[in-house]
Amino acid sequence: MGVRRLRREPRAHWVLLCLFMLVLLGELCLNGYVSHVGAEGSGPTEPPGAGGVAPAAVTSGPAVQRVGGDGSVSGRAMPAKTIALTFDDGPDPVWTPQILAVLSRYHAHGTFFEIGSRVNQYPQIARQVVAAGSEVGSHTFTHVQPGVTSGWRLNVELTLTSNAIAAATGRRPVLVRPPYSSQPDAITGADFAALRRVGADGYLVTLADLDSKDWQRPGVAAILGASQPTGGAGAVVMMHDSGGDRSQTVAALNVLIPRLQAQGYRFATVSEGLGLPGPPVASAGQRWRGYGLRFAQLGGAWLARGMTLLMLVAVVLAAARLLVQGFSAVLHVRRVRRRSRGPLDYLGPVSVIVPAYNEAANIAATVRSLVRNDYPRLEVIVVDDGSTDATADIVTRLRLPRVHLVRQDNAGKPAALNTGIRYARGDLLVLVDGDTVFEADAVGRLVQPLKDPRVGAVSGNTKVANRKGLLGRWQHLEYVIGFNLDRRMFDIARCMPTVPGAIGAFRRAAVQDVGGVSAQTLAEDTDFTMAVIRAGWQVVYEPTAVAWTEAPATLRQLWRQRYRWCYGTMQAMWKHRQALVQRGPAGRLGRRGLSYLLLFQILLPLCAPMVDVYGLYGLLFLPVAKVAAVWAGFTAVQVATAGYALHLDRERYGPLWSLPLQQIVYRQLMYLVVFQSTVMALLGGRLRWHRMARTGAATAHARATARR
Amino acid sequence: MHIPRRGGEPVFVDATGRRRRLFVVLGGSGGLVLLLVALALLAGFTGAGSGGLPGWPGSNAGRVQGTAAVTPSAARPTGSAGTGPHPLTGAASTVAPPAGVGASAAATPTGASTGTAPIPASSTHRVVPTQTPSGHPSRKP
Repeated sequence: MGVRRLRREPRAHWVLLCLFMLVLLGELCLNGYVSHVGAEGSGPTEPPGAGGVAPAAVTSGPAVQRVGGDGSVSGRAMPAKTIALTFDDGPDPVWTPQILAVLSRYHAHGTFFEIGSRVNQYPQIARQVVAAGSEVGSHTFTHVQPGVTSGWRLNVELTLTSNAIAAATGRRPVLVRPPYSSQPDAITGADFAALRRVGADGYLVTLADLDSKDWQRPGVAAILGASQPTGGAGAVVMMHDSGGDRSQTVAALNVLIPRLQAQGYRFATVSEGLGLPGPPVASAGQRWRGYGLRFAQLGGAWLARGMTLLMLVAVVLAAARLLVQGFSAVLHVRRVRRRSRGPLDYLGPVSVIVPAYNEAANIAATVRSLVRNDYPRLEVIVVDDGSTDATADIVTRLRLPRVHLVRQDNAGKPAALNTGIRYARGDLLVLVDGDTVFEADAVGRLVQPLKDPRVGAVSGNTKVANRKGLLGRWQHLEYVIGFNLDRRMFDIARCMPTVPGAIGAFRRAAVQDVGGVSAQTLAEDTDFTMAVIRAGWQVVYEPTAVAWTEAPATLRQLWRQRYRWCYGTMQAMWKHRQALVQRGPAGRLGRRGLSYLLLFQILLPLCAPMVDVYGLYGLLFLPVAKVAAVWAGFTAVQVATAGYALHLDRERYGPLWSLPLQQIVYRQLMYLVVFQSTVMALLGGRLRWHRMARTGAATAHARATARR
Repeated sequence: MHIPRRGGEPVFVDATGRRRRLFVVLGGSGGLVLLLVALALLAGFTGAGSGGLPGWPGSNAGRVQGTAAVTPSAARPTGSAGTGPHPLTGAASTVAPPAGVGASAAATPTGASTGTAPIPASSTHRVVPTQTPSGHPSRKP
């Protein structure tokens, strides 16, 4: 490893990740809020008469009212022969310009009560309104009904809309038309409470004298009939420039304006009609807040679309992988069945190499299980890699025949393996971790595929010995799936990226071809296997050769183990990246194996935090039934997959119940490890070799099975 | 058998420190961008109404004075004037006379509970269900 320059572990990437997830959640939530996703009935649900009674000063007052925060009411009506046409729910890219064109044709002005979120979508339309001499008022940000909206939310709606309009038009709106409002006599007590809040924020409430009801599309004649005041009175007329087909509104305006103009009417904005100055120029600060809001809203929409796409891609990839895995599993099961017909063959002497560093807890069981193996000529070489515990003494005290102990100064697992390989006499080498307990026929079964001279290495089947608790069950399931679906697929596709250090057999010629085990990566088994494949050897999987291993029992140990695996796998992938463009077996490894690892073990896990954020967003904004259905669907597929893997391995289905719970801690740990590894790989620092503390669980398991 | 000692630097180790510096700068810039986006996200929610209404005389005027300035008959062209198709006109005509203004204007927002708002037509009050804007392009599938 050379000189170890250990820097302080970087932490800033966790802050960045948290900030990123918070911003993503905020953006998605803004988008969810704006798009009314999950809004429970977007119309008012209030029954008639609900909400109490408003003061008569309001209900019998004029259309434009100033409601003070203290409940004071003052109002003004349009002067005679003056019409203030008002258009709600815009801006709309289709209808607003058409209405502006009609107004312009007759030199008329109108007042447009625009929805803040739509102003952010179509700021240029809002600008056109102002440029045409008309006025823009506020119609809240998402068309909420003030009377049934909480006070703080109403304030937020008004602020957002004011900022949006300020950014789009450069002017601050003064007029507010409460959504779902009509004439003053429709104001309820609850509405009045909301209007006090609106007034306290400095707005004039603009109700209507005449409600054209054009949103119902009652026909041009009906709109005309409802929009004409009698007796020369002035009026605020309510129409709509968005929310559906407004051709009737446009047609009615084309008749209404010239007809009333002929009677001496003028068409003014609300402010013009009341003799008020127009909306004041917005401050630069407010405009910038509006720009920020527009950016955030549009960004949120983009992100939501991007997330949908990402989910779609992930689902398609997962489905494709599942299909390929299922297909390969069936093929592989048949192949193994053919291979394992008849008795096990003797293939020459086998050397089992056990690198051990501080494995006192397990080494005795490991060595005993190896010696008890029924393979005829077998030697066990334990390489003590400078252990500081009693590992070497335990092996010596066992006094077992055919067991050799080699000691070396601590130099790392790859060096220990190479020492063992140098010492070995057999032409078939079985590499075993110091914490692994072999089944009695494991060595014999493991070497059988080496009958085929093209095969250079064989992966055995590792099983978790300590399956107690959630963590044990989760890892057990993960191992069963990984070995019975992933590895079978890799075998069929001839791109096995890893022969696990726990149980693997190698042909001496293959080991010589690649020059032994390299210490350049933390996942020396992956690195070694990739090198063997690139040297032209086949690497296969033998599911009947079973070894029991002790899985990490705490989250901290699991983190360390996975961090090493993940970082090491990345190192090996990078080291063998040339395989992507090579021909033959190396190219197969590169294009199939490395691409698979890159996609499913690096890129998708890196996107997984976003998926979790999206899940949270879904809980908040999507219909519960839909979220539950999607979750149930995914879980069902997951359980079915794991169930199939358990069936292939002849395991019990009991632990399946723990699978849905993986979503809570295990999943996050798995993807955060990938994130951590990626950051460390990019920063290029040196890592310590993370070891886990052994408790001897595999030993206990061996004892338990021996007694059976 | 001869197994050569495999040397070589561990993969990914950045001997010069150049890559580390590059990614520290990149990470810092990314963080800055994230902060700016967070700022943009929050900025839109800030800034309250000014409270001032240009050109509105005595916007904080007394209640009675304010409402007294209103002449409902002139202000309400939809009143009893009777524009045929309006279903509202019937209800509007039953609204309390201006004589009740003084009392009811002083009422709290939940005037009904105080019992000082003698408006008999409360049951005719209704909410107008105007069209809600729909079909936002950003709506989730």
